[in-house]
Amino acid sequence: MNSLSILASAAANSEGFEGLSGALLLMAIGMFTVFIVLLLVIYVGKCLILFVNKFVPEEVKEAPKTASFASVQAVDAVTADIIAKAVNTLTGGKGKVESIKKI
Amino acid sequence: MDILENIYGMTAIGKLIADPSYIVMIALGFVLLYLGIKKQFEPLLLVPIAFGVLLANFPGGGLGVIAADGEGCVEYLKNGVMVRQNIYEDMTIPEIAHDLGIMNMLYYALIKSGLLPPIIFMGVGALTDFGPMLRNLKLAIFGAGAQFGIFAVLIVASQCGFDMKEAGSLAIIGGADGPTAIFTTLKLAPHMLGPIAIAAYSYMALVPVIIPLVVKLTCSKEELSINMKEQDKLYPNKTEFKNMQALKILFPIVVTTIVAIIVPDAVSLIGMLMFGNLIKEIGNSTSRLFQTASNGIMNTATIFLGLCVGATMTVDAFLNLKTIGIVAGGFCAFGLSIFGGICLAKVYNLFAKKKINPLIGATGLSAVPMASRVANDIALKYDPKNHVLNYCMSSNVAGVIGSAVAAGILISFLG
Repeated sequence: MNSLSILASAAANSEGFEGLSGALLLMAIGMFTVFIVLLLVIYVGKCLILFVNKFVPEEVKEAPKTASFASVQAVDAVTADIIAKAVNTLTGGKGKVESIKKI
Repeated sequence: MDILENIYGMTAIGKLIADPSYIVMIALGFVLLYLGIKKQFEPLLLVPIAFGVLLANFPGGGLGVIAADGEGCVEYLKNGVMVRQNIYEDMTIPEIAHDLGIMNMLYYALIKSGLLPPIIFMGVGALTDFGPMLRNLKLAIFGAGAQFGIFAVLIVASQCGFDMKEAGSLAIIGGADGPTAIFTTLKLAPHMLGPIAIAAYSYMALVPVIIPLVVKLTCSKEELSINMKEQDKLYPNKTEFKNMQALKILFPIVVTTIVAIIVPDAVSLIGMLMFGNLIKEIGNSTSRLFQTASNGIMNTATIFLGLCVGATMTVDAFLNLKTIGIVAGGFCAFGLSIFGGICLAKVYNLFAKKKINPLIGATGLSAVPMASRVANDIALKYDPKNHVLNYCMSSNVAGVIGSAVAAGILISFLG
């Protein structure tokens, strides 16, 4: 009996997964499936990135709305964006970043 | 004198003296409370579990969960007569509350029905950020390597007196994910729920001890000194992100679809995880749902889950050899999962130009974000400039998906 037919018969009946051979078979199926699912997640994720970059390219920029021009000069735009988002989350949208100074 | 005897009979003192095993369980409850309150080991869950253990083991309190046997029947005293009834077919929820007490009602309505673990996964999803994973997608594969412990312990446990369903429930502790462990155990071996939940959450709480131990035994100083940012400078990631928010909204929808097609039994967990994440990422228009899922519902579910799981740890269910096997097997599963992730990273380094710090493999567990924080601390000890947190979060979040898929496979083939 080849491995595929063992798998098919075992899958048809959970009683097939008994003893050492059943546990080894389940390990092979389990690890293989987990790898396949995560590989799919990786490659589908890459496809999604390409799709979004091509069809929905506008990045929502929240930092300029909340962070002042002076703050953007003090730190780079990405850092200002992160600080503004953190303040926004912590204060439930009530807080506003007016200036950022490097100490 | 009769009055004194009646008063003595009213108290639990006589029963505690007659059966000291209650005292052992109460002491265990105190130890767990100490670990949760003083040592801060996962207090949000350990404190309700520990208090549930206490409530269940005060003789006469009637708060211990009565486990149904293989036929779904429970035996209990009703008006002084021992009654045997099928709890699923012959008893309504109000009858369970009346005859068996409030804790049994909560257990059979919320836990045994499999309701709470997916609800908690929804809350976990709402608190999870897939951003680091999307920025370092390749590292997500280490979330697969760290599921090794689950299947390795499945093999060992199946040869040590556990039947396959029990072995599967024990092995899933290696996924380092409490709700997944509970969900799988409910489907495969519900009689082992108490000890497995305790073992799973205890080892999750011990991540700061177990990961450094396994890393110390398996990794060299050179490997742990691999600086990920320097590797990024040498081999830069060319992926450009033009709209991260749109990507984060699409990601949970697409992943749910993939998992639902490949492992339908994992959808209860992954689906709810991704739903929780989706309502977070959509932003303002679903912020009320996000707030409720991540606070109100999550906290309510955690309280009831903890108390009910603790209440399953009665003297009969806990003080036996199988429990010792579960505690030992769970530790092995946990350690082997970390080892599996590290090995995958080492194998990857044999073939890849861009080296990976093995700590990223070690964090392929589902214990988010504690595993990543611990790994970051270890990396900083070897190189104060080597901040690996973001890289570890990629494999760590992938570990949540990986362990849910592994659970789905176990349920699918053994359930």
